[in-house]
Amino acid sequence: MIELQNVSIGYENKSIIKNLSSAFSDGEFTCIIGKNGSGKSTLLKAMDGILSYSGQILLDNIEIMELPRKERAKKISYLPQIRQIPDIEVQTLIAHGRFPHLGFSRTMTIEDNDKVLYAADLTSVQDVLHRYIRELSGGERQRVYLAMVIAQDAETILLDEPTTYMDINHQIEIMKILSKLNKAGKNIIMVAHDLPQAFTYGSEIKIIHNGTIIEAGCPVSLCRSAKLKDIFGITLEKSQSAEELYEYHLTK
Amino acid sequence: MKKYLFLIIGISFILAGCTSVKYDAALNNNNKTEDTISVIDSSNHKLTVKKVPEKVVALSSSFAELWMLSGGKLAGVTSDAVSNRNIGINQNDAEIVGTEMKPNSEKILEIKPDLVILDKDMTSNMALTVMLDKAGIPYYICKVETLDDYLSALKKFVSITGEKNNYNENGEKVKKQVDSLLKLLPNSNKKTPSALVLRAYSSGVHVLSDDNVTCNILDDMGVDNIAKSNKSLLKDLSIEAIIRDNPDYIFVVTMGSNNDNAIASLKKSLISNPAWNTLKAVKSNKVFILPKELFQYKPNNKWGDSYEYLLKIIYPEIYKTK
Amino acid sequence: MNICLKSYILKFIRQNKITNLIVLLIVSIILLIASLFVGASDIKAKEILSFFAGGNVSVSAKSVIIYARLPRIISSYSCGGALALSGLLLQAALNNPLASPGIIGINSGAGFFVVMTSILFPSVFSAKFAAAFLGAILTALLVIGIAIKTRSSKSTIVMSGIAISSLMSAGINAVITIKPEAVMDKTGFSIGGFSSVTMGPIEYIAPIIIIGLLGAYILSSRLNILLLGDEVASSLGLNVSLCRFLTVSFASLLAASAVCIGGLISFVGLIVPHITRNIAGTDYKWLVPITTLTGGCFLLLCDTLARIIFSPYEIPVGIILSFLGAPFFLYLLLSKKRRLEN
Repeated sequence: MIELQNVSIGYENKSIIKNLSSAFSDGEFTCIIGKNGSGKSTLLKAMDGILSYSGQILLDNIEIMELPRKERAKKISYLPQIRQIPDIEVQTLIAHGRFPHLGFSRTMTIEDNDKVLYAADLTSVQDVLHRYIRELSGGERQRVYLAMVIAQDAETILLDEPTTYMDINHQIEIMKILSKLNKAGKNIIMVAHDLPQAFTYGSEIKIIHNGTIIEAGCPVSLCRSAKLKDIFGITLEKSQSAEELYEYHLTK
Repeated sequence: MKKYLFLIIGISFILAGCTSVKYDAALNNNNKTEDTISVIDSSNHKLTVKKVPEKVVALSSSFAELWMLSGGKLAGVTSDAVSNRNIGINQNDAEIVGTEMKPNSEKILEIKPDLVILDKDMTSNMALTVMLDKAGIPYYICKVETLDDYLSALKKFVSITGEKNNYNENGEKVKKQVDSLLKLLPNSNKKTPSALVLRAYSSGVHVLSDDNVTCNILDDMGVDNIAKSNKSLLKDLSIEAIIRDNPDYIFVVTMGSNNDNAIASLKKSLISNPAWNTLKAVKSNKVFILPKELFQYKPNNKWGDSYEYLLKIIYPEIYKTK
Repeated sequence: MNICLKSYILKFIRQNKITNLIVLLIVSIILLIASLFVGASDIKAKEILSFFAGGNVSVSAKSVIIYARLPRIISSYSCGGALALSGLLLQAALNNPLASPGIIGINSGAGFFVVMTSILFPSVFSAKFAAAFLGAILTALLVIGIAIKTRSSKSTIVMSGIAISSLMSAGINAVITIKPEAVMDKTGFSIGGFSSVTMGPIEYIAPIIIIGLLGAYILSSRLNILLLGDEVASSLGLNVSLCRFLTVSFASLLAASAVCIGGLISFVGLIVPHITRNIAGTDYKWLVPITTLTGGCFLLLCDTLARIIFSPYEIPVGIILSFLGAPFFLYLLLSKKRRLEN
């Protein structure tokens, strides 16, 4: 479980996260929604322990900044929205996910290799293991990065808009993989931009606005929320037909 | 990782090989039992060299000439001693061991010289001292800027070659010549003549203030070098300071083998400046390009001629009949 | 057909790192030995062989081998390897393909200290080596220190390097203006070369280079992670600032060692890592040894050519480096472009 207490993050004169307190229970698939600039990405980075903040972020009751980096990396993983794309093979990238688990000499064991193959399998990239990432399509590349995060085998996976810029069928693939992982016991916390998608796959929705979480709850209870209407200007309705792609659709 | 170790081991072997054989070579040299003489060179460094050495390498043309004037022979010289100058060295007599700027250490070692003469002002020469020390080859660091420096060096060289006559011929005689010239200098002068000394390269011009042949002779003659009292001139031209001091004479020493290039550059940077035309030295045509053999290279046994050349210019009434 | 073959060869080379390494080792040994047999003096190969076999050899041959050729070969090879590795590390740590040892002010810092020593202690010749090394290390530390104060991002290190470098260069020029005698030392240092190296400094520097090599090798797996970007690397548990700091430090150690023996030798630190990356891929575990050996072979080859082409006259090694290296590098760039277009 991850607990944030009075977390504030800012630089120069700007305050991005203001006194945010929230709890993320185990086993949940949490989607964080909010307008651009509301602090979503910053929040994720702070929770991953790679950004400094004031306040407390407790990972299983231990302050995250006090955890040694490797231990922290074993418990929580993060897929950012924008990344560098080095000129390496798919297999190499996925294997990098095992970095926090490797010893001083950083050599892979059989167990490490198994986890890599499992991750590749789960994301259906086993056929392109020996190709270079730069040669892949956007969708394939995203799945490869997801595989790396999966190989890291942390209890919690943070994702920053993992389906942006992707074709709809690829988006669904990713969400299905995340669902699978969640059902297998991983905590998924993702920043979402597609509201029907988030409400369909998520088990918990948190709305972030102006640096704080203004509402949180399960999709069913939140879809008619007044705050949703205030911020986005829309509400969500449960879909009637089974033919629809998502369980919810947008209404004015 | 294994490959790494292999490489490290390989290099360590080579290093080990060198250190063990070093001793051999050193021992070899010490086994010689011959007549030797200890000398202290211009740099206060003491060397012990074989008397009447057979193979001598000189890394500067001026000092090669100095050695020959002391009666010695040369086994190795730098290329400028043969191609740029005429100091009596034939291509066949001595090996070329590189250039003055970049002497070739391998060639020097191959000759196995009894003595190497180094120019103190050349870093490339001085860089060889450690290697020569290790190889057990004695070296003489030479620095000559005044007549006295020349005489002292000549004396030391003659003590090595044993040719005492050469000191009289190429040393005493020159001293006498200069002494007699200086005796004729006027005692009370209404005004001390002043001069500016320049060194012209094909890439630019520098001011000389001291520590070279021309400036020392002028000093000895009682001529005021305006750069000396003007340390702010440094070695870059400050037209303003020169105009303010308005020297009576301007002397130019040219570097590089092509005189025309140097003069062209000088003309360009100085005379094109209209302020130079206001200088009395320019107006009264007292700008002199000095011959390289007497002023750029060490004049050696022609030192007297160098004095005479300048004296003739500054006191033509006194020295014109000579 | 030709293009197919070339791309096949390149792909083979890229994927077979062990072969690369073995080939480089063999080439290194061949070059090292071959360089021993060539030079300005006419020593017969037989004499050289008998020298190493422990037989009786003329004193001049012994002198030439021990005092002229061996130190030169060893120093040019080690400096080449150190410079290439230093460049590789800097390009990785700063994520900047234009990074080279010069960028963190090492060259100008060393030059400044050399020129200061030549006027403060003109007669102590060996002071120059210590000065160059000290100058290089202190300048690098200064640059790193400033960058850490401003939370060592890649661009701050580069910018403080440029600033300190200019300061040092200005310092050198100031010294030369006040004491023009120092210009000879500056020129000698700036041209760089191995014509008067002796084994003394090398014996001190060799362990430092080896420490740098080992450090680089240990850091190599971390550098692979650094390639993924600061955020992803942090997320995977890497201490990004520590890794960057250590990498730049080892790079400085290696570059300082090279600069103190060979003076200013540019090009190797910048270009060799690009050549090896093009050929051997991006896994630093392999790149570290491959780049080191390639740098060593390259500088050794260039230095040997510099001293035998117009023997007994020597060309500055930098000229040969550029003449050989630049066309080869351009060829790689163009063939890469062609490959991408295909």
